[in-house]
Amino acid sequence: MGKYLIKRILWLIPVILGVAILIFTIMYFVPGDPAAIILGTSATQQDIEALRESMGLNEPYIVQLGSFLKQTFLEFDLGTSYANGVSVSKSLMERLPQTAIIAVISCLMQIIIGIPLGVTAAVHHNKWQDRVSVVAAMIGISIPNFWLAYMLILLFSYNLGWLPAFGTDSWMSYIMPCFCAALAGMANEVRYTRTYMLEQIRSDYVVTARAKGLPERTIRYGHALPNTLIPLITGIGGSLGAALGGTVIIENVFSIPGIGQYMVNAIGNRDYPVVRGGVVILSILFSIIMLLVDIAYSFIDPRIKSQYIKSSSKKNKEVG
Amino acid sequence: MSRVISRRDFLKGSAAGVAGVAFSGILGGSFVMAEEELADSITVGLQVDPETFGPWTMAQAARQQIMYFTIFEPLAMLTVDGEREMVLAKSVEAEGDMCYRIELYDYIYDSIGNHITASDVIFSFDQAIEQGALSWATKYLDHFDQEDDYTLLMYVQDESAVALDMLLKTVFIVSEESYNASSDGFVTNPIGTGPYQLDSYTSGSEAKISLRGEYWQTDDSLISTSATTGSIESVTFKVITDTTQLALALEMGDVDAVPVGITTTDLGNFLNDDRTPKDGYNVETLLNPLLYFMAFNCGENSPCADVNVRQAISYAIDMDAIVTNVFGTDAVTATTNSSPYYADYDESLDEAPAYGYDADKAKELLEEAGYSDGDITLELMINTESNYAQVASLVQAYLAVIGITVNITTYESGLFTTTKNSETDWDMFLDCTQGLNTPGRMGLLDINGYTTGANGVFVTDDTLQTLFETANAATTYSTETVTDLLTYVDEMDYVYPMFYQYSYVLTDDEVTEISVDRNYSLIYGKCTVLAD
Repeated sequence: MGKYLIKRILWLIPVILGVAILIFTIMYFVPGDPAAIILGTSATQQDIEALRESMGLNEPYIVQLGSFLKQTFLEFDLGTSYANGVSVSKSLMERLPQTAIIAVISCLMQIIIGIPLGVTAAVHHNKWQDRVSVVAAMIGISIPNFWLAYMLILLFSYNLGWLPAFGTDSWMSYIMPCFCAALAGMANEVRYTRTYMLEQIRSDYVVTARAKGLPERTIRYGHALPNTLIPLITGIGGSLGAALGGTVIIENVFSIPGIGQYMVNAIGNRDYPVVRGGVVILSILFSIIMLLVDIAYSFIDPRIKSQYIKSSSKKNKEVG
Repeated sequence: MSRVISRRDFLKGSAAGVAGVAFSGILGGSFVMAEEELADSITVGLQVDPETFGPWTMAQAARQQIMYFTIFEPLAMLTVDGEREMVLAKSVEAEGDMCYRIELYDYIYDSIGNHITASDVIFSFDQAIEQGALSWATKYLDHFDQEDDYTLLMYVQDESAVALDMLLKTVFIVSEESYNASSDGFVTNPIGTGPYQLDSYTSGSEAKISLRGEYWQTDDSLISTSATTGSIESVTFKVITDTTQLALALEMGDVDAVPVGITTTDLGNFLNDDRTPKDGYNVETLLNPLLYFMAFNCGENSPCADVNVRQAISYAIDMDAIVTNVFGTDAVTATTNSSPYYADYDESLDEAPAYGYDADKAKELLEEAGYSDGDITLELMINTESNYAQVASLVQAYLAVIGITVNITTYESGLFTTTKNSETDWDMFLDCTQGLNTPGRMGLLDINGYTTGANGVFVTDDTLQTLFETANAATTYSTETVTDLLTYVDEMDYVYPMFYQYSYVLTDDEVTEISVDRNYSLIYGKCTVLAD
């Protein structure tokens, strides 16, 4: 298991390096000149050229790439923003907690609400509980999150005055953003859980368990549910990673200073250091989350754990 | 507005109006009433985060509101009427050709007590240029010579009228000692000479400034307009990135003022159709310096190289109808490539618009150019701003009437800026510019701004260049020379003027008097804010 983990961690290096080279190359070839954007509409071509030179943008691709990789991976410096001269690492670290709070809480909501609802729907297949869950899930998927956000703001902030409409002043500020970010994910979780549970409930081993006289509760939660967890955890891991960089609309509507909004603004401004730094950090976080998902597999499914153990003991024998 | 000002604070207030109210209150035996009237703080809604408080970053709306003239001060500034007003400089006088003698006050101290001298001015200019965002200054500034601690000679290499004001007003002066002691170049902890200092800043969320202990300028008669403090002791800025939320925040009283960012759609919540404020709100209406125009590609590959085609297009567009339909009373049709915002604008130009709507004349001009119905297809380039899309669609419809097909291509702003330099990618583009004066906003037509031997609309016109340089030079800049330039540009129709807009600084009705500078930044000390 330990060797497997080390191997997986070592695999992160080429993945992150590949992501860094890819994002650098994409940004290099994307049309649009950061110098022209910084100087605005009144700037002359001469002004723009002078700024390009001072920013090092006239250097060849390979020189710029080498300098970026050296700075990022050897000096651990993501550079400073073209737009405001602020350290990219500092800005990302300031914004990461807000984004992480929304991402983690919305994922927890998916797990805590989505999975039980899905299980309920499956075990009460074709009954009213199933129908209500399915309809609720369809509504959850269909509602655009920006529309929901405005409706919640009008109701809870401006009509009832219960929750703050914007900002991050207190924990209450996160209630509406997290709910909006989680809704579609919760709805998906209900649908996936229901589908996987139905598959398991109809399996031969469940029929055998029932024939043996095991209580229905043990069959559902002790046997069927664990077998649905692998695809569910994979999905949750993916959505957590996506949420770290993808809650732009939520961040904008609720004025939450997060990573998504920061990076979208940077893309528009061709603020290369911010985009590159942001993508590198997100790729590291995403890789770590997927690694944790892989580790979680081994705890959920003993077969996977035994595979790791078998493969490592086999190698030990061969060496011996 | 957290609390009413105390008696001690109230008497400390420097604004004459405040003192007057207090004095009359005491005489009338109703001081308590006067004491309760004025607030000592205000909350302002901003749509963008300042991100940094570095003094030499590019202009940005939030930084303008928070730190321009409040925390940092330049040598001089322009008032809302376009007049030069001294701030740190005691005087600026021409000293022969291309040289100005600048004398500083000898008692300027920043908020941590460091003394400002001529060497700090030179340091600030060097830093501003070195840090890149103000690299344009190298075009204007040659060098400084320091005569003594408070006097320096500024040598310029561009005698344009805007050069001096750009240098004086744009570069904020800080103490070299304070700057070098800062661990992050003032990014999070700015130290300036202004009357306010930064109390707190939460990235992307909130910033708060408050009056510093003792402002260096103690002579009330010499305090610049922007440094007037009045009763406002602290200002809280809330960053609300979503425009709908920004409007809701003003409606619900979460903020007292929104200087910029309320969309045309949301204006109706605060203003009547005639743009007077609705009950509960106050408004300051200002002319926006941005002038919207349609530039023609005059390069040989475009049909617009022919002046008859350009004029036909201009006559075919009913700009009044477009303005009314898209903007209602929030914009005005431009009759030439300037507007009343600029001090050099000759208002008689309003009486004779360069191109009034005349579809028949447009068709005649097109025939003269040798084109018949359906012969011309033009590429109209716009950026993603929603106003442009609506205007472009209407232009497309008007040109269809005279047989010109228009393809509209929308670019996001970064790509738009770059594509403008390509001679083959567009025939017309919609854009807007502003400047300190009319020639200052017409850089698109100045050959010297480009390295290709032609200007930004790909034309080399000696007459145009001579008129531009005459209007732009400090020695010959006048309403007459600017009008000559405008008349020629209109005649050749290189750039079709479209419209300029009004900007609305909105507040709740507790802000009974609104005062703003040329950047639409509230001059907090000159606003009258009633307590809750």
